[in-house]
Amino acid sequence: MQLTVTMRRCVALVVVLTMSMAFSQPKLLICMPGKQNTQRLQNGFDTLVGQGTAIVLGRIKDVEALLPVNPDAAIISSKAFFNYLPGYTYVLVGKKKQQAGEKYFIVTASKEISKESIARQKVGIIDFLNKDRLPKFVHDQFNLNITFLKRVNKEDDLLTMLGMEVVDAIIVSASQYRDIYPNTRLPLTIIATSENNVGFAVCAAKEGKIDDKLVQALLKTPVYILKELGIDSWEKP
Amino acid sequence: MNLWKVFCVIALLLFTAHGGQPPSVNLVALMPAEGRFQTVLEEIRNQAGPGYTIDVIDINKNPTVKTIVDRCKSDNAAGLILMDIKAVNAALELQKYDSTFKATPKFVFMTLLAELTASGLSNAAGITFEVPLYSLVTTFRIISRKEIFRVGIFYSKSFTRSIEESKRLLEKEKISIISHCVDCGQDQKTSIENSLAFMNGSWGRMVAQEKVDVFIIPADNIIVNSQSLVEFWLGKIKKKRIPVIATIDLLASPKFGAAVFTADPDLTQLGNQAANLIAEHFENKTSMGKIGFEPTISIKSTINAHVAEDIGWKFKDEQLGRITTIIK
Repeated sequence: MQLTVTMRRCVALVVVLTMSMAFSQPKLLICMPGKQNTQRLQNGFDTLVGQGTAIVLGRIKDVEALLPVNPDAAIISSKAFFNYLPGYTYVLVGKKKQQAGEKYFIVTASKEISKESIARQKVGIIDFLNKDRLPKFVHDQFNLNITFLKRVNKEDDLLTMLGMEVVDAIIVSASQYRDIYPNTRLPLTIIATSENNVGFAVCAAKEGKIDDKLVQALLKTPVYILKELGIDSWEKP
Repeated sequence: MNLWKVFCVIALLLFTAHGGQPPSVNLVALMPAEGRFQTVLEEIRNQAGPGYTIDVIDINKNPTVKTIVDRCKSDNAAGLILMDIKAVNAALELQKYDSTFKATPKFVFMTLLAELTASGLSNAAGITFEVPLYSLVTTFRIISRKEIFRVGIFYSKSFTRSIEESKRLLEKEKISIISHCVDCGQDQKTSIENSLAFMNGSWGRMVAQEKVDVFIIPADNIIVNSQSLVEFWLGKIKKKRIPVIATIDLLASPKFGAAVFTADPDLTQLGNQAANLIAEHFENKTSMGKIGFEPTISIKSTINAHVAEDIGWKFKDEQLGRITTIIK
């Protein structure tokens, strides 16, 4: 088994190194988990910054796997992601209605569930950090150690889990809550609000080093892509 | 997709297929080593992380019970992943052959009527593979311009439990399921002809008196088959311009054009859900009995725009981003 793993890694390294010599490496990795339409986002970024410059990924795990082979790539993801990724500096900050962040809520569809009881129950959340960091995020924002966080990658699945009683509550941003609310007749109740505003999408680079042309292109991001990223505009910090 | 992305993804898969840390939980997966089962397995591996090692036994190669026992023992397997009915049946044999396997946690995925099929297994939990009526109906309601309150369905008695559960869940969404069992009566024999006669005799009342807004076709060959498709679903319901939604993707295909909206399990997300379940047992120490069987959460959906036009059904443009495929 160990030999197989080593061989797989050798093959992987050879593939990556060969390709890195043959093709230009991507300069930008984009990952906003929860948004389903990664292909639409990929097409949009290809038009904006040029083919091969950006890679849109659906899962944070994929970003982390690509970082070792793309150490100089800038990253667009939720601001919270960079709280747990040292060495990165914001080069652009996403704003929505002039705000840089928003509250998160714990939402239930049952009157029997309270903030006091939720720690022992199942709670659904978008996997925008990863398996190990999400419990820390929830503790930092809600001062709760929730026994079991059920991670999903699609925003639509949060409401489905709540409606089908797979979870007892869901954790959503204020924007996600506004999206979900008109789509259900469940009696949704907010039982807890985050301590702080949690930042929207940001673009960050290692030690803030990023190609200025890329920044200039990103500042011209069309509205439909900004909307997919959950923001209205980019601003320099 | 550009070339660099293709190679990065290959590299990513190769790096993450078997993690770097020494595994602490060894599992054996009994499953057909093919396409869609592999998709689910890969996502389980990706999401479960490096602490888990999963050894695969191809159930389609008909391994003997002894072979399975030997592999489980040499792998020091802490649990079994079972995909497909053949794997569940093999696990039943395994329990009989060696009673120590009764205590082994068994995770059942990608198996139709999983809870029923695995009812003879000890210490089992899993995910039901059928698209739940709840997500089929609520997704269709979210994308439709017309409000939906009453949904009609014909079903055979083996689906009674899932119909009752769907009724309970959809009631909270203020949607009523108007259900008619085609073979639950004492004098009703289960056959395609009897079901068709029952449906022909009931649908008019369901529309005129019970006011159903939409019909569901369940994944049940007693309700949908070549005869009922032509004579009933296309011949009567579609002609009356009543929308039909289904848990069989094929029914929205241009070839059949019976359903305006269909849903299928999203296999990658199913793998993620399965990994959550495995972690719930091994990391949170939740008993298998308490975990139990949960429904498939994530779906891939299809709209047939031609059918929608034929029956005059309108969708909310701003909600169509959630639809995987739109047949135009």
